[in-house]
Amino acid sequence: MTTPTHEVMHHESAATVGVRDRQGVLLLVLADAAFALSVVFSYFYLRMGNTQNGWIPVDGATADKMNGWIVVGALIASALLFRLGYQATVLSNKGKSLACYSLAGIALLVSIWIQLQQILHIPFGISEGTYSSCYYLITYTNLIHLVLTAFIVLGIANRDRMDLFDSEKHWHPLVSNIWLNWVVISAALGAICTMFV
Amino acid sequence: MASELITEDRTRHSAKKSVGIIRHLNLGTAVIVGALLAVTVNRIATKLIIEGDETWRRHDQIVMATMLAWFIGFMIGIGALVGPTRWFFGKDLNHDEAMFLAGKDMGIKRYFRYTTDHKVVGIQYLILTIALFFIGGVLAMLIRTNLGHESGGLIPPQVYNSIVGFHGLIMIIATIIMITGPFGNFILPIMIGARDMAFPRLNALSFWLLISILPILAATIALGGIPMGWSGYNPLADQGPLGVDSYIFTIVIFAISSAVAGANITTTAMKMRARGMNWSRTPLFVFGTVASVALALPAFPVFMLSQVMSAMDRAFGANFFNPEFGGSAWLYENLFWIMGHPEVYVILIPAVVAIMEITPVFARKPLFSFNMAIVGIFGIVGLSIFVWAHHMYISGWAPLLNGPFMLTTELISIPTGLLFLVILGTIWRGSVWTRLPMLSVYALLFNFIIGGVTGIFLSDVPEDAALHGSMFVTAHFHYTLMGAGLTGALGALAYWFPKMTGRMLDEKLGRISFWLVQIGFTVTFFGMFAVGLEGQPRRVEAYDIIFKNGNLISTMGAYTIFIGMLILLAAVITSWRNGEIAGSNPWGAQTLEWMTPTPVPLENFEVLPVVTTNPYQYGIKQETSS
Amino acid sequence: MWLMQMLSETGEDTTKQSGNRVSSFLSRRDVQQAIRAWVFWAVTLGGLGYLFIPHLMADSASKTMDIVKSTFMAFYYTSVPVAAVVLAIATQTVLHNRHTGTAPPPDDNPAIETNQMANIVWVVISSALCVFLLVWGLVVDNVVAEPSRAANATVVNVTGQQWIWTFNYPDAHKDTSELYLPVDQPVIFKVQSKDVTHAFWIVQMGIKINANRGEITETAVTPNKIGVFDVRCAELCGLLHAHMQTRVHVVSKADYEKWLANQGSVEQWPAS
Ligand SMILES: [Cu+2]
Repeated sequence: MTTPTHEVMHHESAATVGVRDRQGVLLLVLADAAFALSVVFSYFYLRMGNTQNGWIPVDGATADKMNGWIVVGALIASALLFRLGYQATVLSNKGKSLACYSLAGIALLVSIWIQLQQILHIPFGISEGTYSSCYYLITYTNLIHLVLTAFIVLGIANRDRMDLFDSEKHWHPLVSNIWLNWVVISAALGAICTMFV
Repeated sequence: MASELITEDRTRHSAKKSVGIIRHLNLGTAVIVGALLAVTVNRIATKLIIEGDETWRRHDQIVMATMLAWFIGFMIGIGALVGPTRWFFGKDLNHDEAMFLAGKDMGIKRYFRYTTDHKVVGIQYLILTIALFFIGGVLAMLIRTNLGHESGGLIPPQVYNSIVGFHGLIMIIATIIMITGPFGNFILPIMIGARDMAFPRLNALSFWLLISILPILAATIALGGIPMGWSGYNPLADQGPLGVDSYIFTIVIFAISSAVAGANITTTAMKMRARGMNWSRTPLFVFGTVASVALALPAFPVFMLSQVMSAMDRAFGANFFNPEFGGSAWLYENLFWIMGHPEVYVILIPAVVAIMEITPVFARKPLFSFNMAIVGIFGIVGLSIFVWAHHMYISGWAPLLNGPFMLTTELISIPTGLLFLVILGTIWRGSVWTRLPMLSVYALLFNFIIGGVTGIFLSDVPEDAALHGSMFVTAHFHYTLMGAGLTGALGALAYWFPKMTGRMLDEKLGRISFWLVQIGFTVTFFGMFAVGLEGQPRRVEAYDIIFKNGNLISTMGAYTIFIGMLILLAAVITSWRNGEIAGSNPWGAQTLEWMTPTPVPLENFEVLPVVTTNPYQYGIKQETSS
Repeated sequence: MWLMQMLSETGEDTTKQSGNRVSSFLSRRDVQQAIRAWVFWAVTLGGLGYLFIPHLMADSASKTMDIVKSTFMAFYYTSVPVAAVVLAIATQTVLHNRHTGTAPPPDDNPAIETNQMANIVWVVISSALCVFLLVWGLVVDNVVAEPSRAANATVVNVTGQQWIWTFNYPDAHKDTSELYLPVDQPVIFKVQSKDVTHAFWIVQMGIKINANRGEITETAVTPNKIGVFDVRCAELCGLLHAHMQTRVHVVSKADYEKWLANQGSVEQWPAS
């Protein structure tokens, strides 16, 4: 069994910790991507299978094929702004970075609002065939993604406000940026799926 | 998942001594907050969710809301959200707080907290694994007892089916964590010369996520059980009682836990190795553990999705697996086995590499063909992604794909054979120091060859058409998961026990247990092979009179295993409390974990080691590592 | 025995002729011991398999089942020499190189880190075995599929439901709970389920296919033996899964025609 012994201090540079953080986030993206790709697989599996003609709702109601892309558009704006903010952090341009992170957060909140509106106005029930089941799955999982990401982006903006980043310590914005880019991609995967009704 | 962004910012340390709310959080507060939130949400949900025409959905919704509330309350109460919240508000942990979280000067209490020290997490995992094996073993005894007589009858069919499901689910969780949990957490960071894991708080998170699902699993008993088996096949699961919701919840949380643990262990091994420890000097156990958790990382989310879909079907009337409205049972089977086959190697690889770590120490020879071992491990990992449909030969899903899947499945025998080559090459012309860990090496060789050969029989399409779903399959996978997997884990336990507890595992009791377990194992599963060949289906509570003798033999063997396991449990408990004190390196091994003092100090190494050779230099002119 | 040969080569005198090396290797004491152990295991395992396995497997009532049984034996005999290598090395080391005591053995064993020839030979042999398994599998898979291609095959619709089997003869408009099949006549089963997934398994004919709701799956066989055989469900399907079984009566063609023409229930059929 282990025993606590005398205290030993160990300093690790921001870069060492940051490289590790990036690796960890990439691995979690891998796990999340496995989930997202399985959703894509299931969507097309059910669409092709079309067992007992149960894919499309009986009354033929489907969602607007562009719905997903509207959310992706807001997300891309958020990701680009975040990227600009990160570049400003690297250059220690705090005024610019804080503005960009805040705007990225706002864009993300907008995307959440759009996603929520779409969910509230789905023109079919969840039980009306597998297309509708998949549509609910894709929109709801995307919403969860967006809320988590909003927490991260707003956290970065808040921490930037508190002067916790500079040209040396820019790893949190960097790994958040990786995550945000992945969220854009996964939302786009959903948007691509729902184009094929 | 915001928490991955947070690491202790050890460069900022204020003089502030307070550690805030985390001082007051522990398992007790977690249970209290979880229970309170669960009761509250249950009350609200019962009121709010109106009784519709489909009342079973209402109950599913209420049960799921209650479980979610328990889970969130538990995680709040244990302190999992403190880190993300403080990160959000820019109040990173100072050094005292980080030390507090690591369990400094806290004694036994740290085992009941959100403690970040990897050694504490390793011990926690060890205790959890033993507890799970005990429960799973008792369930196995119930199954075998019921099968002692051809008409069953001891246990009602519904309960029996749930026991089979529970036994499977608990044993699968136990075998997945049995090596990467205790030894991957406790040993691996020391083995690579690191002071802790890459993400100590994610480490605590992965463990407490598992603990949070234990009450949910237990609740299953009150909710009608899981009579569809651990594989949770739909549409049978859709038809099942509320207990199936517990099952779904368990799998979802388990998937998150293993993703978190996988990212953590992989990053640790890749980024935190000691100076000089390039890949050719990295112990095989590190490769194998990483291969296992990195394989689980993309595999379990697929399973998680299948359960999310199953939950939507059950609680909201979605139709993913309901063929009347476009759904497909084959979709479930695909998702399940895309996880399910890699999962076999997630379990097996750590056991084999633990044995490969033991073999050179006790044969006093260098590990034979280190490179071939690596090729074998990663060959298996790579191929395992492409073999899942051999579980679906007879599902009727895609008969044309049976040939290609037979090819990929049989190809796996080549990298698997390399693992044998490495172990055999190491013991050939070596010494055989017959201590407990070495006994497991031989038992694994014996069991793994039987598990492997019977696997080859089943990879053949017409052969599988005859044997699929029979007791032959049950015996086969027990040979791989238990005969090879659990044997490897028991070897690892005997091998690393001195480092983890400071004491030697009782050799005499250990030997008695070893022989009872191995002989009992052989008897049990040869009986099962026999009745499987004769045509007894698996997962049955009664069977034709012609299978009587084989089942009786199996039941007697199973009791022998159980007695052996109880003796092992007694050996572990007594040795842990007052066994012979072990030095820092009782086996004369060369990997880094044996270079630290025992007990291992909080941050493992006072001075970080520098590595100059691989750790298998037995009989080679000495210029040992560090 | 190539394995020990390869393993021993490190450090041997390379100027010797390879023939001499092989014979001097084979005459080494540990190699002799290993060879004896290998012979012991090969004979024991092969003999036990020969004596017991054919009796353990269900009796055959079709060519498909004959193939299942011969495949099992072929794979078994193929794996015996391989398993014997593993067990021989294990036995030799345990019997002759054992070290007991509480202190580690001395580090005076040959420090062999690898042997390129051993690696190559091992990979080549396991690849060759793998190819053999694959070719065998593809060939026999094609043979067992023959009944499904037969032009004159009888069609039987099989429906699984919790927890009974129903058989429908579309040509004769007949529904039964026990299966009747003419001997030596290919029969195609079109299988489906009314509820959860089941698996339709005729044990002595070596065929099995899942019964899914909403899908029709197919399997085929030619029964070649008159008698009564077992149908069992091979996929956990709920409460009474263990009891979801019935019988197959394989009868002569004449008897089968008689039975088809008989509009009465199954019970009126005289015992075959
Ligand atoms: Cu059934």
